[in-house]
Amino acid sequence: MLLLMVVLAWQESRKPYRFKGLRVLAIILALMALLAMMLRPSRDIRVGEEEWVLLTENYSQTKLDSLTKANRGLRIVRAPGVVARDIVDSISSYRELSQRKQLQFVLGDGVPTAYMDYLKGTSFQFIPGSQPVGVVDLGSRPYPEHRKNWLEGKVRGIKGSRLTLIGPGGAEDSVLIRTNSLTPFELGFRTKIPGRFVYTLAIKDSAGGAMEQEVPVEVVASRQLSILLLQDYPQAEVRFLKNYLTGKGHPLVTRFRLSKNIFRYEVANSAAKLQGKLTMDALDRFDLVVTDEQSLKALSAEETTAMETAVRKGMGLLMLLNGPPESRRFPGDVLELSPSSPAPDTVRYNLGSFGNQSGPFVAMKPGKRVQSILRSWNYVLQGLALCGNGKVGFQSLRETYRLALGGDQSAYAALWTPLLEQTARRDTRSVSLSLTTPFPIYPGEPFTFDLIGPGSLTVLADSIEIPLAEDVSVDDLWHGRHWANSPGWKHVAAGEAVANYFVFKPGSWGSWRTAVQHRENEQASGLPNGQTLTAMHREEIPAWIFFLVFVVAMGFVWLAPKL
Amino acid sequence: MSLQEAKQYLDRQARRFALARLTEVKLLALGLGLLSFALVRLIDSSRMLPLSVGILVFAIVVILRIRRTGALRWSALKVSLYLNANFPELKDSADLLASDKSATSLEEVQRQHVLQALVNVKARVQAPHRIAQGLLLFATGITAVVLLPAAARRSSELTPINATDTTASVMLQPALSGIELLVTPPAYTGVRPFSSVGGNFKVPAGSKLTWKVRFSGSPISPALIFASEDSLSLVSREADYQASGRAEQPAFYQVTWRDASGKRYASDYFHADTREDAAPVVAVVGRQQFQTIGPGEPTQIVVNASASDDYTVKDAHLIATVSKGSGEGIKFREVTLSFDNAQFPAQHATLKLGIDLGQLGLEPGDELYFYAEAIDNRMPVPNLSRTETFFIALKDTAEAVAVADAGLGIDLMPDYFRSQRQLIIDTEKLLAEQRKIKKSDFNFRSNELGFDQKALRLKYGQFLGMEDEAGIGVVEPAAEEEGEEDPTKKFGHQHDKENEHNLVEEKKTAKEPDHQHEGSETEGVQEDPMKAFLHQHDSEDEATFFIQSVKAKLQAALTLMWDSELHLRMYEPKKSLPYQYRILALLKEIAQDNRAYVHRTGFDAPPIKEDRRLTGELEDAAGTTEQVAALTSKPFPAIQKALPQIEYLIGKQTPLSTSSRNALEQAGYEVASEALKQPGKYMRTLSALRKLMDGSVDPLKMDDMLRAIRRDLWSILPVETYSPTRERRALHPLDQEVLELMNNQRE
Repeated sequence: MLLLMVVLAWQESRKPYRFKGLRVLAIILALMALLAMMLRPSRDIRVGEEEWVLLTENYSQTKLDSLTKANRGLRIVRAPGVVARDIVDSISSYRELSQRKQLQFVLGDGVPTAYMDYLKGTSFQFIPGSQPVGVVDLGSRPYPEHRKNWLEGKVRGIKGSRLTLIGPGGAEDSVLIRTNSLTPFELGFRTKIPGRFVYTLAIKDSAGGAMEQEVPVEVVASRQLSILLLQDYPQAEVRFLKNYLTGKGHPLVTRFRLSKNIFRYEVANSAAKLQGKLTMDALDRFDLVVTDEQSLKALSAEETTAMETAVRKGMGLLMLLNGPPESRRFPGDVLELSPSSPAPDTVRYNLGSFGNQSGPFVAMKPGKRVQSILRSWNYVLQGLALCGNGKVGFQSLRETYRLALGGDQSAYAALWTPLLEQTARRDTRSVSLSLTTPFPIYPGEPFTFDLIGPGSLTVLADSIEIPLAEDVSVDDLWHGRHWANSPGWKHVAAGEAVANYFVFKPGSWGSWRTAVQHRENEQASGLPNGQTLTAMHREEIPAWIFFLVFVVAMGFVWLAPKL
Repeated sequence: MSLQEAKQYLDRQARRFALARLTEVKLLALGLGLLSFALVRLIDSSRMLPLSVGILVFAIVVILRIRRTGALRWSALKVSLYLNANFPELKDSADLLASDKSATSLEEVQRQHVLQALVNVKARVQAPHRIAQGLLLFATGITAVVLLPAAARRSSELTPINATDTTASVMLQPALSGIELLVTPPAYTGVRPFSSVGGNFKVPAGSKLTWKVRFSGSPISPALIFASEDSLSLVSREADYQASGRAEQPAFYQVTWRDASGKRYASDYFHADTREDAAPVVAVVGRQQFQTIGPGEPTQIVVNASASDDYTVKDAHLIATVSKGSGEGIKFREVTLSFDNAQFPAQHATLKLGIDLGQLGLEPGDELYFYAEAIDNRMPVPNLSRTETFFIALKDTAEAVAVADAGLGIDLMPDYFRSQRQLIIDTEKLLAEQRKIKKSDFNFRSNELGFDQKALRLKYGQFLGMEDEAGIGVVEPAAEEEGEEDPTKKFGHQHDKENEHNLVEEKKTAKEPDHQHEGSETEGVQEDPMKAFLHQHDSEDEATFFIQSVKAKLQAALTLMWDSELHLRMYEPKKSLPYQYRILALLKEIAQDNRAYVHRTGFDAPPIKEDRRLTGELEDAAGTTEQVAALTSKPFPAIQKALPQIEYLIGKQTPLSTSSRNALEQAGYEVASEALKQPGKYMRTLSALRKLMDGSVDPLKMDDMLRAIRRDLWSILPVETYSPTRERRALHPLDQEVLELMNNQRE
C-alpha cells in the first residue's frame, strides 16, 4: 500500500495542473482512508455514562474530592445510613448493588460482609477510609484442655493501653501496647476443662478509660492415643514415659523382650492386648509405636514389613535415638539422619513458658524431609518425616526423665506432648463442618459454612434444619447459610460433626469488624489498594468516516485540473 | 363595687374555677393511672408494660375529663352564666357584668342591681369541682401500688392448693427459724456440757451433739445432710425437732425438709468444726543435746523438764538407755526414771530429776541416752509425746585394743607405725629421761619421734587425698595402730555398733538422702533434687571416704601434727605434748564418728556383667501380661460438670433446670469437702450455691453471683500437666486422593 501511495503521489506530482501539493496530499489521504476501511481501526473510550462511586461509613472527603476531580461525571451515591457533605443520591439497601454493575469505586469502610454477595461480578476499586483503631484482629480457634494457650490478635492506634484477658478464674494475662502502629499481641491463658466459655478482654487506655469485650473460647477435650512401647529391656527413659502416659489415661501396651520369642507385656488403661508377632492387624489398633533402633532391628523381617506398612497407612512411629539410624533400611531411609560434626553431647533448649532446659543428646544432621518440632541452634532435637499417610518421628534428646526426677513434671510433659501428638496417627473424619464467614458474627446477619460429606446429612443450626447447596465443581462439598437470632454460643451440627460459633452482641468489636470489612472489600475489589481502575473501552471507528474522506480526497483530485 | 371591679372579680373566678377543675382532672387521672399500673403489675412483673399502661390511662383520662368539664374554657362570661344558674338573686343578669357592650338605660339599671346582689353573693360563690372524689381515687391508686405487689408476693409464696383438697385451705410453707445445739464434751476433758445457738460450731472432738431445730411451719422429713452425704433425721420432740450425733471430724452440713406439696427446701451450709485433743507438750529445759563428761568431772546431772496439755497430763517420765562396750560387744540397758517432784494429773507440770551416772552403772567410754515422755488423759487412746534424745558420754581416752582374731596372736599392724598414743607415751618417757641421757641422744630420739609423727601425718593425709607426699614408703592404706583404728573393721561385717534405736537420728539432716556419699555438702547450697540420685565422682574435694564433720576434724588433726612434728624436730618435745594430746582427742572422735557412719551403710549389690544378660536357661520361661490400671479419675468431676452450666446461665436470666440444680448440688458437696481443707475460704461460695439452687437470688445480682461462683469453682480445679491428644482432621476424598498420588510419586 505504501508503494502504491508513493507511485500514485509521484505520478500526481508530475501532472501539470494547479494545486500540486494539495493533490498529492489528497492522494495520500484517499489511500490512507482506503487502508483504514480495510483494517477497521478502533479507539479507547470511557465506558457508559452511569459510572458511580459508593460512599460507605467513614469515607474520606478528601479522597472523594480527588476522585471526582479526576473522573468528571462520576455519580456519587451514598450507602444507607451514611451522611454525606453534599446532597447526593442514596441507595435504600445494599441489595440494590446487584442491579448496579456500573459501580466504579467504594469509599470508606466498604460494603458489609453480609452483602458482599451482591458485588459478585462487579469490578470496583476499594478506597478505604481511616484505619480502624483498637483491636483489629483476634484469633478464634478451639484450644486443647490442660494447656497454656495463647490468644493472638493485632491492635492499632492504642498506644499506652493495657489489654487484660479475664477468664473464669480471674485475670489470666495482660499486655501493654507501646506503639500506635499495627502490633500483634499474645495473651496466655490456662485451660482446665473442656467447654464453651466467654472470657473478657479489658482494654484500659492511658487516659483511664476502660472497655470490656467478650472473647469466645472453645476448649476441646483431649482424645487419648493408643500407644505401643517396644523395648528389648526396661530403660529409665521408657519407664518414665510409660508412667507419664499411663497416668494421663492413654491406652498403652509395653513389650519387653525376655528372650528371642518371649516377651513381657504391660497393659495399661485397657488397651488392646498384644500377643505373638506384630502384624498389620495388631498394629492397626495403635496410633503410635515408640521404640529404638536396637529393638526395631530385633524384629523379624515380617514384623518390620508390617511396621512399615502400618506407618504408610497412617500410624506414627517414634524412634528414641542413640545415634543416626541405618539409612538403608526403614525407618532410617525416611529420616535420612547422618552424624554431625562437631558432635557435642549436651544441648540447651527452650521449652517456652517452661524455661530453658539442658540435657544429653545425640547430635545429628537431619535429612531434607525432616520437619523439626524442637530445635536448638542447628540441631533438631525432635522432628518427624512424612511416610505415606503416617509419620516417622525421632527424639535425639536422652535421659529426659531427669526433668521429671528433678520435680519438673510440667516441663517433662511439655517436652513430650508435641512430639507424641504430631507423630501419632490422626483422627481423620470424612464429615466436617467449617464456618467460612469471618468473625465477628452479629445477630440477624447471615453467615456461611461448608460441609464436606454426603448430601444426605441433615444440618441443624439451633434445631433448625438448614438447606444446603452443593458446590458446582466439587463433589460432596456443600454450602449453607444461616442467621443467628441472638448473641451467645451457637452451633451447627451435621451428624457427628459440630461447628461451634459465637454470636457477638450488636455494636461490640467495632474495630475488628471494620478491619475484617476492609479486608473483604479489598479481596472482592480484585485490585490492591493504590491501583487505579482504568474504565476504558475499545470502540471501532465507523467506516463511513474513512469512506467520506476517500470520496472527498478523490473528488478533489478529480476536480482540481478543472479549476 | 364598680363595674370594673365586678369584671376583675369574674376574671379571677374564671381562673380559680379552671384551676379547681384541672386539679380535679389531674387527681382523677393520677388515681386511675396508678390503679392501672398496679393491676397490670400483678400480671407482668416487669416495669415497662405497667408504666406504659399507667401513663396511657392517665393521658386518656386527662384529655377526656378536660373536654368534658371544659376546664380550660372558663371565662368571665361563663362564670357569670354559672352565677346566674346558681344564684337566683342575680336574676339571670350577671352576664351584664361581663359584657363590654354599651348598655341601654334599662340594662344599666339592671347592672346596678346585679352589682349590689353580687356583693351579697360573693362570699357564697364556690368553684364547681370534684377534687374530693379525685383525692379519694388518687389515694386508692397509691394504696394499690403499694399493697398489691406485696399481696401478690405473699400469694405466690403460699402453697398451691391441692386439687383434691376440698377444703381448699392455704398453708404457709415451713421455714427454718432457729437451731440450738447441746454439746456434751467427752468426760475426760472435764469440760461441762454447754449449748450454742446457730448452726456453726466448734466443739471438742468426740463430743456428743444434740441439734434442736425449730421451724415456723410443719416440715416433712426434716434432716441434717452432711457434705459427706451422711444424714441424720430430725425427730419431732415437743416444740422442735431433734437429732443426736457425735462430732468426730470437721464437716459441713445443712438442714433439709419438705413441705406438704413435696417441695424440697435446704438451709445454708453450716460449719461443724471439731477441736482435736492436742498431744501434751513436753520439753527438757536448759540442757544441751550432746554433753561429754571428762575424767574427774562430776557424774551427777540434773534434768529439768516441763509438761503441759490442753486438758490434763496424766503422767511424765524419763526413758534412759545406758550404752556400754564397743564393737560387737556393745550392750544396751533401758530404764524408766520417774521425776522427783511428779504430781499428776495436772494441766501444767514443772519436773526435775537428779541422775547419778555412777548409780546407773556408767563407766568411762559409756554413753547415756535419754528422753522425756508424757501422756495425757485422752480416752480411749491417750496422746503421747516425747522430747528429742539427749546424749551424755563419759569420755575415755584409754580404749582397749581390739584385735581381729585374738587367737592368731599376731599384730598385723606395720611395726614402723606408732600410734598417737604411743607417740605421747614415748614423748613423756623421753622427757622423763631427759636428765639421764645425753643431749645428742635426747635430740636424736626427739627427731625420731618427729619422724614418727610425720609418718602418722602422712598416713592420715592419705584419707584426705594427700597421697602425693611420699617419703616413708607407706603405700598401703594400713590400719591405724592399736587404739586408733580397729583392725577388725577390715575383716568383719560389723552390725549393731551404735545407734541401734536411731537415737542419733538428729545428726542426719532432713535433707540428707538415705544414700549419700561421704563428704557431700548439703548445707548452704540450694538443694538439687538430682543430687540424691547421682554419683558425683568428678569432684576432688568430695573424693574422700569421710563425711564433712570427720573431714574437718581430720584436717585439724593433721594441722596439729605439723605443729607437733615441728617441735619434736626442734628438740622441744615438751612443747609438742599439748598438740599431741589434742591430736589424740580428735582421732578418738573421728573413730567414734566412723562407727556411726558404718551403721548407715546399706547393702551394695555386686555389679552384673552385661555379657551374661539374657543368657540363662529360658526353656520354662513364658511371656507374661500384666494389667496396669493407672487411669486416675478426673479431679472434682461434679465441679467440672457444673462449670459449663454456670457458664451457660451467665447473662441468660433463666431459671435453673433440674439437671443444672443437681449438678450444682453435687458441686456443692465437692466445694464443702474442699472448704474443710481450707476453712473459711469457700463458705461464701457454698452460701451462693445454696441461694442459686433455692432461686432466692435477686435477678439484678444474678450475673455477679454466677461469676463469683464460677471464679471459686475454677480456682478449686487443679492445674494439670500437658497430655498429648489425638489430632483431628477432615479430609475430602479428593484431598485423600491427592495425598496418595503425592506419596506414590515420592516413592
